[in-house]
Amino acid sequence: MMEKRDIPESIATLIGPKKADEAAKKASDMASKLDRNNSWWQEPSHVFRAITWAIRS
Amino acid sequence: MTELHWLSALEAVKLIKNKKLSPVELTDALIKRIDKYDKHFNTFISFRPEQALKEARVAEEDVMKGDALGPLHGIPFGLKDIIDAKGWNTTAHSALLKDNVADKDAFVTGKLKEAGAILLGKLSTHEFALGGPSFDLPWPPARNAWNRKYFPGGSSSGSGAAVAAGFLPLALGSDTGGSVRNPASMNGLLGIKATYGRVSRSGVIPLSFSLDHVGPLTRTTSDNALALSVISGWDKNDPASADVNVPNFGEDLDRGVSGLKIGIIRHFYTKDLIACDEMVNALEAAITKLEKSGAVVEEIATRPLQDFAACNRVILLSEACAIHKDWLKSRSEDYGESLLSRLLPGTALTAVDYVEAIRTRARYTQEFNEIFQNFDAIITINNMEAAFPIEDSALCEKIYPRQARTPFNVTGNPALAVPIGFNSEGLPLSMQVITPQFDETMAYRIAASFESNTEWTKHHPDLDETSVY
Repeated sequence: MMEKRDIPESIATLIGPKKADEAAKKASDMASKLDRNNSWWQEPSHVFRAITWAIRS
Repeated sequence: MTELHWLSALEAVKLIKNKKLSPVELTDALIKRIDKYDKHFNTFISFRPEQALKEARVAEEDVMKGDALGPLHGIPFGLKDIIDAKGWNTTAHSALLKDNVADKDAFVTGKLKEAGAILLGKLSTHEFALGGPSFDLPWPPARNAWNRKYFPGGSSSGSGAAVAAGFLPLALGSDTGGSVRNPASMNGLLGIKATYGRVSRSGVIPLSFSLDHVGPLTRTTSDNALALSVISGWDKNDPASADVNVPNFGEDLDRGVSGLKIGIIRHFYTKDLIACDEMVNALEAAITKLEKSGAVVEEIATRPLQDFAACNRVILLSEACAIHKDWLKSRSEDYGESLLSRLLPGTALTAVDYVEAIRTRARYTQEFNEIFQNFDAIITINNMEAAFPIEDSALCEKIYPRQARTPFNVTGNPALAVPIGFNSEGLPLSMQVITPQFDETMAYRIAASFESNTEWTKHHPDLDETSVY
């Protein structure tokens, strides 16, 4: 099934309808091709790691 | 003696430590070569010969005084221009950052300087390591050292072309969807994307923080192993940095491949995508060579390339758009066309897409971890074709995605680009050696065995011929 995606209006206004349409088509294609065969349960954090995460000095 | 510009870093450092070569002599030879030829290849964005010569004179004095010398003492190097060096511009090859000056060294820059290496310049890239090759930016795109009409790979374009041209023995690049291994492939070099977390990215402009890696490009396997040993290590300023032991990655270079079990992924280039005959023939010859050296080779299957590519793109563009969101709204006219067209789809992806892609990534990583329960390494193709004419934008859009590198940005495994020959036009061909997480030593062991049985890394471009347009 095609996953229809749209460019946010604030961006589409800046770049014009032609580029926005092209970008939306590419995004829709990417979203459609993504393998979503995932099972869901409590997940580990993928970026945040308590051991190494610190506010930069 | 080998001409100075073709000395490997290891050969040069040995001569320097034995007082048979001065760092000044080496640096001066490279500066003269860059002065003569780089106008044809556009590899440098910033070039500071006087500063490098001054540092080379200090390095020479250290040798004469008998001081303790680092493993890269007196060796000139270059940085992809998204990597900070204190007091130098970091432009990301973009009008948006053309006046951006770094106030401190990136972690990797500091490591190379500590090892005694001398920064000679900052090198061309695709804009923000994503958009290119582009002709609408403040600097022209780098060109292939083997034929300047051709694309040198990207996004670490200048790093690849400069090392292949004999301007530098060593340069750093970054790799988010294959951007170290692509220029390594198209310029006939060794280039590694080590395990995610092995090399710090602090002080490196991010493209996609959960996929970004920094890695070295060199002309020999032993140089690459040395450079990775120097730049690796835990860094508190990179939240993804892994606090693991850093071995001497070159410790097994002479062990050969006898008895190693190597899996071959052929469906990436025979079914998922169809590679050109010359690339496939060179790869199959390389596999046969490893088999004759005693490796046990077995074909294996994974999920198709397209699954990895989709996962990589959704994560990469979601994160890149989060990074660029303010500029996209306030300065979109300052981006080059190529970057803008690649970045914009990311603004339409949803939070659910991103979370699904991350979960999918964890699953794919586990699948590779299971394969490595039974194999020491995996070999597959790098690009489906050799380099293509740089000014043919339609061909670029068609051929650029035809590669097998993104799976290993997704899984985080080490992946080393290794030269495997040349096509009928004299352009380099390449394979990848992939190993278990944090076992880069194995990748270098296999590459070194192959290198010792072939002549591919001994070939160099004749710039008097390749610079002719």
